[in-house]
Amino acid sequence: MVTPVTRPGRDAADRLLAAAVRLLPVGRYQWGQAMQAELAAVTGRTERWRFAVGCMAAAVRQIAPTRVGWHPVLSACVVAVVLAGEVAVTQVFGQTVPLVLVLALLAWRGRRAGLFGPVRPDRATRIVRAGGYVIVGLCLVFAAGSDGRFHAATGGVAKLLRPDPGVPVFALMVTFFAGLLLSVTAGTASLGRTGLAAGAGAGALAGVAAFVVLPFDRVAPPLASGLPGQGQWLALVVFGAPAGAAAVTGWRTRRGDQAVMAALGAATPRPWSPRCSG
Amino acid sequence: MTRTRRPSPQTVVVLDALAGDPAGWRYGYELGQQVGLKAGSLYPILIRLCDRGLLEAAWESDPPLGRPPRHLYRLTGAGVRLAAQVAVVAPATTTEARTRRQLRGAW
Repeated sequence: MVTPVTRPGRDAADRLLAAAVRLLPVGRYQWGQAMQAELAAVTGRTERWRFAVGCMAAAVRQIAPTRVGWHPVLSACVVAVVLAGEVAVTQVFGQTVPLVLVLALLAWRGRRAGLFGPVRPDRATRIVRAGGYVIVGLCLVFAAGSDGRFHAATGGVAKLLRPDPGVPVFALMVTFFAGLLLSVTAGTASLGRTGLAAGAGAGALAGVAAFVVLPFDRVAPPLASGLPGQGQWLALVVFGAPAGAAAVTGWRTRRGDQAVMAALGAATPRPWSPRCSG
Repeated sequence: MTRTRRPSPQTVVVLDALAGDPAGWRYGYELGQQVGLKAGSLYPILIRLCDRGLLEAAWESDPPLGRPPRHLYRLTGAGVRLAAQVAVVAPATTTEARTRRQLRGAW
């Protein structure tokens, strides 16, 4: 079988299709060349665009989620679009509305086959995912309540739609956490049960410790003020949790990659504590 | 045990069109025009049929000057048998098939 040499792009439709074809997996590349060759035989600007767009859709379906995951370039584009949309919508409607939309999207993807789901069928993973959903829910409540949007005296639905200029750091962090939660608890995740349990447990412990140690935004002293040594020893828990998770996982599994992922998982919940404390 | 799924209506239409001349090679664009499917729907069908050994593909050996060789398609023996099999229970009228394509064949 003769493999043709593809001509240089002739017009914009040709160049766009060529770009999409370059993302195809190796086993599908010849089909991409076939589509390009077919486009070369199509005449008429409108018809060429229609054919090229159809071929690009067909190419994207070949790049679509596999049991391993999305193509990294496409994944980065999707993530960038979602986050950019979240930032843009925040400028107009505040953090709560786009955060709800993005979390609903992630929850939907978390039930479908792919990078985020469905959840691995063992009990430990289901518990971790459920616990993560609870944390996300609490973060959502804090996001909506922190700007006084639920004050009964000045209440009303319109208060939820107050613009929030600037980068919505908290919303992006919650989005990142939710995505990470889903990806490590999905059936396709490479983090084993031991690493997952160690990371989640250590992360929860570190999160609670951080919450106890930090002050309530000039309103009240830290919860740890009544503990021996003002609870400063809790900082050891906060910063030692990832190392502990890595050590336990590495000892049980004898695998460095699992230990690293467990440490990352343990480090993730800590940023929420400063936000949740005031 | 492998589960056998019935081909989609669009796939049946493509099989039917190719089975009209089993020995003849067809271009993708013309095939799409004949069956009323856009490239976004047609090529995934062709890829699936090829993966399952129901369709064979080849590059044309003598393209016109200034144009790259195009892909040609025809059914394999197994593809011809499947086309005959599904044609028995396929929609009786072309109009009904075309209506389904219009409703579902946007991509």
